[in-house]
Amino acid sequence: MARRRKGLARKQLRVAPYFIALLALTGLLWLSAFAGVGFKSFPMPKLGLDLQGGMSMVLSAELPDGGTPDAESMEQARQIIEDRVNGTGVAEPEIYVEGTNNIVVNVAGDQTDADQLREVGAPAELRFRQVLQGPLPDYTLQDPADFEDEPNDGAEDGESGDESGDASESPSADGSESPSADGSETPSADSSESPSGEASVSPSGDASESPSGEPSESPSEPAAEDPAETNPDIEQRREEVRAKIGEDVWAMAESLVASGTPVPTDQLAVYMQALAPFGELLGEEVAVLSPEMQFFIPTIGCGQLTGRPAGSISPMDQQVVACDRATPEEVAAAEESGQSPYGKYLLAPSTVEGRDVSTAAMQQDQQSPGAWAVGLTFTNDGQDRWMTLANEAVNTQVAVVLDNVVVTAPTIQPGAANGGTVEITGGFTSDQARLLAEQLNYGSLPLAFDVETIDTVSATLGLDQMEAGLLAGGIGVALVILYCLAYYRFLGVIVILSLIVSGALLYPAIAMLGEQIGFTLTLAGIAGFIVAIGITADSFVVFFERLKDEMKEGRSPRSAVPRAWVRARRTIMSANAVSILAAIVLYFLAIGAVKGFAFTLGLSTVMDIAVVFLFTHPVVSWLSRRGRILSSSRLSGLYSGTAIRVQPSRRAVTRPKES
Amino acid sequence: MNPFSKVVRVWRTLYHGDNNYNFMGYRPWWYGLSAALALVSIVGIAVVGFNLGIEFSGGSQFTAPATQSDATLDDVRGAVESTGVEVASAQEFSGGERYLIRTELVGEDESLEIRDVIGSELGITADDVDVTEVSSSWGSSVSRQAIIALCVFLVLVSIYLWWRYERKMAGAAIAGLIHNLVFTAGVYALVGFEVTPGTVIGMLTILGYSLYDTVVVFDKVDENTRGTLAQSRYTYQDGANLAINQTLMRSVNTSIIGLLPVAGLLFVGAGLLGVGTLMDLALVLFVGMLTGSFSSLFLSTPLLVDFKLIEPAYKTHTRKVLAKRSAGGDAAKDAEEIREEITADVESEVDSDLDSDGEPEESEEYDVTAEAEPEGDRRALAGTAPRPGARGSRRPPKRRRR
Repeated sequence: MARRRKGLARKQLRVAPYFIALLALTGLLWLSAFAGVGFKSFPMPKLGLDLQGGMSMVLSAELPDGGTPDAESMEQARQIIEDRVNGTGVAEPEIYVEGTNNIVVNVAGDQTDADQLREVGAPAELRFRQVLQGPLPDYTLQDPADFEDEPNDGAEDGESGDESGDASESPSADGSESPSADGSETPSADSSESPSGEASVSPSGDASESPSGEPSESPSEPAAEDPAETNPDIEQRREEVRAKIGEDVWAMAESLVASGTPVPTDQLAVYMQALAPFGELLGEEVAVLSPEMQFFIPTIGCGQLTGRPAGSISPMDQQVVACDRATPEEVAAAEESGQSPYGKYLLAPSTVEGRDVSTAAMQQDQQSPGAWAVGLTFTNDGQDRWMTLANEAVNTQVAVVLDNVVVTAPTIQPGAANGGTVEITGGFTSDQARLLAEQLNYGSLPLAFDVETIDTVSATLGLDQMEAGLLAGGIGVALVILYCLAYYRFLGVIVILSLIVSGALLYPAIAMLGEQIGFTLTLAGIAGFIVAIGITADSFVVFFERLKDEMKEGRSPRSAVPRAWVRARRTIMSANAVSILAAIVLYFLAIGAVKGFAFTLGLSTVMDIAVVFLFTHPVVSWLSRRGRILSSSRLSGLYSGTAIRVQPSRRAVTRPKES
Repeated sequence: MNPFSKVVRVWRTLYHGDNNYNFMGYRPWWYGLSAALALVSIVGIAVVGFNLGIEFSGGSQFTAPATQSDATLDDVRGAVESTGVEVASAQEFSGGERYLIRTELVGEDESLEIRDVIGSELGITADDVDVTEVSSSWGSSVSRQAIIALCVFLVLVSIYLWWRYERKMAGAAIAGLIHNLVFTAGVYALVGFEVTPGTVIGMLTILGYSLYDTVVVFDKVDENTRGTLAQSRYTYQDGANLAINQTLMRSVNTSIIGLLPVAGLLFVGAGLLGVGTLMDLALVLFVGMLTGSFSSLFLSTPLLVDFKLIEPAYKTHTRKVLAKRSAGGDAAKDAEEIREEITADVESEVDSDLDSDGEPEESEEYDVTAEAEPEGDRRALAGTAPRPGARGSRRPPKRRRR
């Protein structure tokens, strides 16, 4: 007996590590789930749009030849669409590439207007526009402290006399009189910050190295007609914005525009304060203002300008305002120095557009080795228009405008108007040059997009669906539990406990994944969990049926359990591997709601393996050595060989031992 | 004996695992049945065709809560039609608390107008009317991706099964899977269930489940037949037949336990909601899992046996065993006897697996010596007597070990 006890003690010790591992795993998951919400609240899964309400749109890229777009253009398109969606002012949009040619736009919340977002996939035309004024820095991104260093006397000049009340409230009383050198923000000094400041256009083969970009300071032609004069709709919307801004501020803005010059740097702080209401406008509201207002009002930032609805500045016969782009490094550098990484341009009506470009390709910069340039040829008609534009704009900048953004604004070298291949240089890296060439080739979106599906779900419908999903889950779990209790009796309790453990592992996992990788739980995802209940419970079935087989052979539970486990383990692993494989393939290849389904199905299956290995088997193993629950067929639903030998086959019992 | 008690008896036999039906002897019948089902399905698909949802033709769908006013579904339908848009279908769901109107694909302005009309009819604002808009290409792009996913999955899972078991098992499993898919599609065509992208993706998830079932059976077949060639008392077919019998209850349980949650899903999806992803998924899973059990039991395993019998080694072996049996006057060898022999061989496999489990002291405690002996006696014998069935010499020369 002593030896036996020793054996038992050893076995109990062997069960303990499993439970400890399970506890550690569960604890770890819960801990990280709580850490995800900063221990402030109970971690909740991130709900999908169909459960919390919102709008979901699928845009599909169409290639003329019906081919598949490459991943790079899709990613580029995704970023541009993200910019556009952000510009509409919706909260926390989620934009991702799905499959090979879909881009999904998800916006939570009820207030989203689907029609407003419908246009985000529209391709914008490429325009060449002469730079009339600019770049002006985007003062809204600048460190306000810079303005305060400016001398403030004379802030109230004639232009803003009626606004003196407002202006005097600005923090101008610090008495600092001397202008600090680095605070000087004249447009010309700032030009080198624009990514395009040093770009130049020269005919290929032109040996002259282009000088650094020199923005033109004065409009070379009178302002074109204001769109509002021809379009009563814009006029009316402008009135609405005017009412929103307030008469006083509006009048101040108008007088600033009338001066036709940017705000002097020494008065910036005052203007920034006084014209602050303009900074609150949405992109679509900014779009209805006159180009001069958009340009001269310092509180209108590049975020707003970029966020104007797509196509806002595509009319060719109008003056427009646009900001340039900045690379992430430039943004980082600008943030460090408290400067603006972007510049605002006032641009002339366009004469050359995207369809005039015949080809654009990256090539080696012939003047500066190691750098890249973009070679550009025009169509026959385009060539004539380009030469006219280049002749007019010699020694000034011409901006390449895509969507709402100035992609580059090179200075036109005298040779650029001679015809032939035009080269845009500017010390580009190969990536920059490739991007620019692609943009010149395809327009802003490297691909044309169609709206595939739009789905709006109101919060109440979302709640209904959520309840339905949970009800379905509840019914599913209840049915499985009832069946298992009826079939396996006491072992059914172990099934229930295992399912609870599985739930305790899954819940924090979903909550954590929602925080970490933005996994959202959708209705299809809930369906995945419900279907997975079957798969999880089935692992127990495989194990218990094996156990039943073993005990039918006449073994005691104590010896049947390890034998059954060795066999069941393999089956469970093989079968689950197939399930996981299916889930992975679905997740990565299928499109639509199935992704959520596949994810939860796969996650559940992985957790199932953990539960079977760390909980179900150890518990059954432990029970098999404790008490007589498993030995009693009445309690366990298993049936012991000795108990049933009355039944069918006599041979099974008395099989003579082979010699 | 009345039919009910007969059912009870069959269930009892299954429950106790005492069933030993000769499934494999009726292989031609199963093939015939499978072929007939596949044929009916294919004809159904070809002649009747699928009832495709709006996702395949393109269209707009408006849903709105109907509890704020007394307007009936017909009122709303009439109102929408008054805008000049053709209504494809109108239905209630969520137990009549919501209306759903499907129309042709409408533009931005029409969409707004319809929402206004529905809103005023139902006493709600236009914003409370939910819109789903699907272009005509969406359904086909979902299906295209689904077919790509299907192909990739088939290739990967074939490789897995090949590596895990063997080439023939992979072939038989895939054949059963394809049959399952065709059968499910046939049911959809013949019954006229609506096919949506949800259905298509649901079909894909059947893949995993159907194979899950097959793998459970094949795992047992694999176990039962590893030693086949090393003895001459039973054939490969006997081993496979026993495997089906041994896993029959597991297959039944697997199917029931798999179907129960799906039934809950179907009840809520179809019964309470009436439309949408839940219903589409639940329905296709329900149909697919029902047909899946059939495919794995009555097509995959018989196919495996026939695939195996193509191999000369197994062919000769089967002939030898049968010849030996008839020579011994035991042509109709008792199924129970075969069962005994196979299980005994498998026992030795498990023992060696246990030994290699790194827990030798555990096997010391096993008392597998006296299968029919009372428990008390067994304790006394623990760890001393040699086991029957531990016929190491008869083990097949090449054993899979994992």
